[in-house]
Amino acid sequence: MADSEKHSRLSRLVGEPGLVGTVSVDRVVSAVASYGMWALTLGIIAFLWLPLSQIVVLSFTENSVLFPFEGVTLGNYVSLFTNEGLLAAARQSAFVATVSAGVATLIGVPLGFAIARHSFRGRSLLRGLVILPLLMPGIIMGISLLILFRVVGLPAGFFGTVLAHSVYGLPFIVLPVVARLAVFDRNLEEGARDLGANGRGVLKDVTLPIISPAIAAGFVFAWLRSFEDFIRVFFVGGTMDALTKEMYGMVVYSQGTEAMDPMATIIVLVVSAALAVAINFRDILEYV
Amino acid sequence: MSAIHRLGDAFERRGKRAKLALMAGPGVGWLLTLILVPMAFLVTVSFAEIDSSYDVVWSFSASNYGELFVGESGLFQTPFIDSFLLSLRIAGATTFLTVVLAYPVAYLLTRLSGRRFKLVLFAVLVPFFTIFIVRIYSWLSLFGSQGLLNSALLSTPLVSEPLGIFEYGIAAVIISLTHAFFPYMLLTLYSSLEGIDYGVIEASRDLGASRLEIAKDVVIPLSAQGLITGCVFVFVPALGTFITPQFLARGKFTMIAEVLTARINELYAINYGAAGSLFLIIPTVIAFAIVMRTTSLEAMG
Repeated sequence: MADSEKHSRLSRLVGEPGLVGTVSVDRVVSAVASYGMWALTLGIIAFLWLPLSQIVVLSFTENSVLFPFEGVTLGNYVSLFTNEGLLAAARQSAFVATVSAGVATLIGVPLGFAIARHSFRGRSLLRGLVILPLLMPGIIMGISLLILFRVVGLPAGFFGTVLAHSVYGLPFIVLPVVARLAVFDRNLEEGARDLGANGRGVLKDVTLPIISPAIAAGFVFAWLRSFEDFIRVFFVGGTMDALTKEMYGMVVYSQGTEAMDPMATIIVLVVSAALAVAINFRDILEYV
Repeated sequence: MSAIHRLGDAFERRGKRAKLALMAGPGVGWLLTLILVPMAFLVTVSFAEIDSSYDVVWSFSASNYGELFVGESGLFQTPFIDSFLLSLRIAGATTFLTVVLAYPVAYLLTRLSGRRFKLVLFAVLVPFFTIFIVRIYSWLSLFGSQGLLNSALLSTPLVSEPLGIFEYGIAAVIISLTHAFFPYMLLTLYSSLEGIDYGVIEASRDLGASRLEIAKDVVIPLSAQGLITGCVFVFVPALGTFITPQFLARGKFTMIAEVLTARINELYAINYGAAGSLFLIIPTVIAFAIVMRTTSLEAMG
């Protein structure tokens, strides 16, 4: 009795319907497998959190390494907020990321609609092309744009970086929009039209509200990828300030690195919160 | 159908085409001018030369490739080839490890629902909202003989000297790359596993299949598409990775992206860089072809 209770508890644990009349060997295997799966997952989560937890802890400690422990402090945050160069670079990167993600959204949302809702020649090729910015190594995008910009006479800097990052962010907008429209119940639009809404009204009051969490989450991801990109801005950014270039120099010359952990801690908080709001704590995966 | 109807249809078709062009045009233009044209251009430049004022001279030459392949001690004995082969091995190991780690988590996610599902998913994704370069900096102080991992192990009675796997070098690069690319693998695997009808698994269990047989004959074949896509999305970017080996190899070896960056940045040899880039473009194109054959875009959201 106790055994079968345990089994059903385990089944609930893995969300598996209880199997009636299975032999007990299978039950044991099932228990081991589900406990094993959880143990493995928790181990992997611990591995994934290893750098993050070190970053957060070190942002509050005296020393830049964990041992020897020298006490808790907010000094690192002070040195972050007094490091004018780093802050200026962070502001510049945030500006680039906002413009780039904005451009990617303006271009990507209609592209997503075209791919999801229209049939035309080259549609499947276009669907494939959209993933290319995500697939190609960053260094290829950096070098190829550097050469192109040089030949057409576009100086390296803000404009070139925005072009590079906006195409880099495009998949993060288009893919969720297409996926969302694929499972979208078009009867809702049908119904709105029957109730007298015109095309614009249907789009504004029915379609966009339903897919906007996908767009918002896509924007957050595109923004973050631009903000934390190093290799593309390294090639096409010229002498423009960028947070990652600044940090790269800090690590190479081991100077002022105590400001990096607080910065990353703030970013992880802001992005998690933004994403949680964007998706309203609902199925994250649908929009990733 | 009357002529007037046909005319009306034609107008409607043109209207639709104009609307479509307006919707897809900017995106297509972006992808063409910022991805495809630069890539084609890069390949062209790899056959050109650079003059003393660093301008491209449009004369056909294969000397850039010669420089890649022919070393002082013979054919294929160049730092570039060494780096390329090493990068292939590192990317391969990274891909393998992400599959091994992501498969059970992805499978578990498909069996969960509600709050548990969201909790596990959030726990898995949050570490990737840290700035990448800070994460690498964090690995920098975790690895090494004085690093946190080895110090922690040394303080236990289990080990008496620093473990080689936690030293700077290939293992450190592979571990942190596996960490960095884990979510790509997880999300593609999850979306393909989620599509599997659980009834099929139950049916095969009822028919007497063991767990191993179910995994081998049902789950893995049915999720093969996601597996292939995930591998491609990990392997190709890992091949061209720059910051990770830059910091965690500590000069013990260089990966292909570092060789190219050094050439372009220090010597401004963009023709040499372009020729070397081809060794990252070709895998990208192959990967693209694989993804086009195996995956539907809707499945990738």
